[in-house]
Amino acid sequence: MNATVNAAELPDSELLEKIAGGDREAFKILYGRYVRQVFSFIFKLTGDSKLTEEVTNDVFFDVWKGAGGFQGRSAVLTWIFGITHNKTMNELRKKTPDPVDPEEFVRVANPDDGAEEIVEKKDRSERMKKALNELSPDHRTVLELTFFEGMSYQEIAAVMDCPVNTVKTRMFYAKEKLKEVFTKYGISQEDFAL
Amino acid sequence: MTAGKMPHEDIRLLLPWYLSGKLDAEELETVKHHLSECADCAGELEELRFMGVAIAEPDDSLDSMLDMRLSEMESNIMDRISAFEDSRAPEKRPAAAPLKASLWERVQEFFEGFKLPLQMPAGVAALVLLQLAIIIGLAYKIYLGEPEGYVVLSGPQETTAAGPVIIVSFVDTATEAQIRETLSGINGRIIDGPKSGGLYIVELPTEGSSGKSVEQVIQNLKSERDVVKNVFRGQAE
Repeated sequence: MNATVNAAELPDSELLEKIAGGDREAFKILYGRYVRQVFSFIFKLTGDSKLTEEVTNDVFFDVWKGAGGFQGRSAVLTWIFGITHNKTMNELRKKTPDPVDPEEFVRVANPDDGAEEIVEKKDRSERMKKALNELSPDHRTVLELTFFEGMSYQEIAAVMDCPVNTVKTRMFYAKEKLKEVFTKYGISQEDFAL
Repeated sequence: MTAGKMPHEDIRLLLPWYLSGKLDAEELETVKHHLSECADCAGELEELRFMGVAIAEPDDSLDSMLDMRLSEMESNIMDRISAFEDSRAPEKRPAAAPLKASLWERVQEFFEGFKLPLQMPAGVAALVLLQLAIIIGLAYKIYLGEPEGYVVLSGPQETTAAGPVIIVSFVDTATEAQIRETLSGINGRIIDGPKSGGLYIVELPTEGSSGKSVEQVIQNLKSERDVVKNVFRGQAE
């Protein structure tokens, strides 16, 4: 078994130690391990592929520079998501939100307008994107980290740098808002064959 | 408060993580027990289940988008790391012995080779001391004001930028004239490079004086795909 195979099997914390020592192969392994999750999180919040690429690499550049300062107080992935969250929020503050096209909304929400088309996956996906875009970045973040990344509320608190009770209340209001926008865009349990 | 004595509203707040299996054992038991008695929370759990499924649904288009871009993204980040490490290289080099001290040591060593006979006349001894003083004085003058440490006699000199800095690599087919025109268009000046990966450090006018932000300049350069291969903001050290 060669050194590369061994490194690929190393836990995150050991990879990070190697990265702190300037090991670029260890960095490539960590990058490969988490780039999809980081990319996906940023894209879902920004909806901008070019920006997502840049921010994703900004995150990993910070991982390279900050590896030596990692204290091990949280999991490596939680630390990476903390950087990701900060950078994404900074970008969202700079960005002007895309206005929702009212005509598009009427077309989607009108039950007489081709019910068969509405159940198509692509259309449902578009409605989901529009619905989720109406949530605040904080609400979107707790939902994504809970249901997509499978993080505990303690881990989410570490990522968002806030108290655990704030995470719980954000989730509560996120859920209320989600109910509202699902109704607005005609998204129901039938869409997901539950 | 222990999980066992948790009120209804607090338990309700835990339902999303009950669903995702991220509660600790005590919280899990408390929520399970509560759900068996509370119809409101059981109904809420069903709504959450639907929301969770909707949010966690994989986005195939996102995966294919990343598949197409991943190789270039990885190449970009590795180039950026190389440029960053190159720019830090002088700091990371082991500290060289100070030049003035080593020169003085060399002068001392040189003169230690001469064993002056005790019976040498005082005038000859004074002459030797005078020569020594002149040599030391000249050496001091030559090196006074030079930076501590070694002096680079070849390769790129250390440069300092007054304005913001960007890091640029050019496409292999770009001609010198194209590169010059591109740099002229942004009032940029190459201050270092090429570094590993063919990266150049380019200094821009002070932000505001050119009427363009660094981000605007980067975006402009990115649009010149026949000349610019890659561009990103340099790090202020």
